[in-house]
Amino acid sequence: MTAVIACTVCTLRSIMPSFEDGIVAHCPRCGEHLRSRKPYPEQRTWALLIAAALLYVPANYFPIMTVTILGKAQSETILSGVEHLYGSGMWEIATVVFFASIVVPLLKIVGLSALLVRLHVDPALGRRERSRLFRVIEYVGRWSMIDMFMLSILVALVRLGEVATIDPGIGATCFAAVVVLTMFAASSFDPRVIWDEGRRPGE
Amino acid sequence: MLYREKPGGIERALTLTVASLLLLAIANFSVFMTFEFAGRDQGNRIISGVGNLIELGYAPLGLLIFFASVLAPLLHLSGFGWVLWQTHRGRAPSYLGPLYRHLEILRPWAMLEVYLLGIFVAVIKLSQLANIDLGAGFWAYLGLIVTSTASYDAVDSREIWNRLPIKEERVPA
Repeated sequence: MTAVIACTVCTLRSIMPSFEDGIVAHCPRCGEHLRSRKPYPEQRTWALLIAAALLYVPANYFPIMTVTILGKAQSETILSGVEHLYGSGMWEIATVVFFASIVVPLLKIVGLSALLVRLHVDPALGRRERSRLFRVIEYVGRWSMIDMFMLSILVALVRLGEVATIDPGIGATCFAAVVVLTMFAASSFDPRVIWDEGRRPGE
Repeated sequence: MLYREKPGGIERALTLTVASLLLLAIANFSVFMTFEFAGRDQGNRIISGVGNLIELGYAPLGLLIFFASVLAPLLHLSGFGWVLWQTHRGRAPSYLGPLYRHLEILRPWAMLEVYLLGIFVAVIKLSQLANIDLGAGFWAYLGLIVTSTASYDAVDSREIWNRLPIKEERVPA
């Protein structure tokens, strides 16, 4: 049975002899590997998600930076950074940072887990909504890097020795790892499996 | 209406991409902002944050930030400019499709717009601490976001794909 597979990068449709994964084929326009589904989408996404969820704890517990002014040191975590922004009256930017640093990572971990679980529980319900949820998760993931970029700018600019210094903290490395792991988790998930009826083609 | 091609989009995108590359160079090589505290001041380039992070033992974080804010945008803008230039001249060498595919995969990792918000947050935090003077690097970044966003907006990736050649291939039986 021949099959039509759309390239996931350039959307060109190619005719394949079958859906079976053993055939190695590449898109004749962009060279992308043509597959009916990504390999092991559930296992890979779970693995990366679990790693991200574990690192999420130290990312929020440990300080992302320490501000030292005239010998007085003050540590700041992701959450206390947002609080300080709210406290200083900059509520617009504080809200942006709140969404990017706190809501988005949670949405990615919880949302992707829900998508994976729902592949087995009532898979026929709400497919359209779940596809949309996946697109949102995929799109918003990178915005969590705001705090990391802010940190690198502060570390670049505030190096006045004894007077004022900003140093990075271990929470920052953990947080950056969460962002990267959830980005990879989203890209290893295959949204096409949301639409599979029971068994996948070629299985 | 689902989709309509904008006339002259490729040329406009090409111009904006060249402008973005120039602004990216200025943004990274000129003084970003000067920070004054207790009579001491310090002007710094934005890229020195990466060096400081590596020196302080945060190499993985520093390299990730360098990749997302400098290297990936540089690679993406220059590659995108090259693809636009070739399609503008009506050429479609066989490597162009795979090149554009790699650019599409790289694109989410080029985080200039996210970086700009990071800049805003940093400026707000610093302005509460001390006097700051915004330098040429800051304004170049601001311009860069405008030109690069407009350049990606000027042309839909479908327009580029439609101009790239499809290799004739016999389906293995």
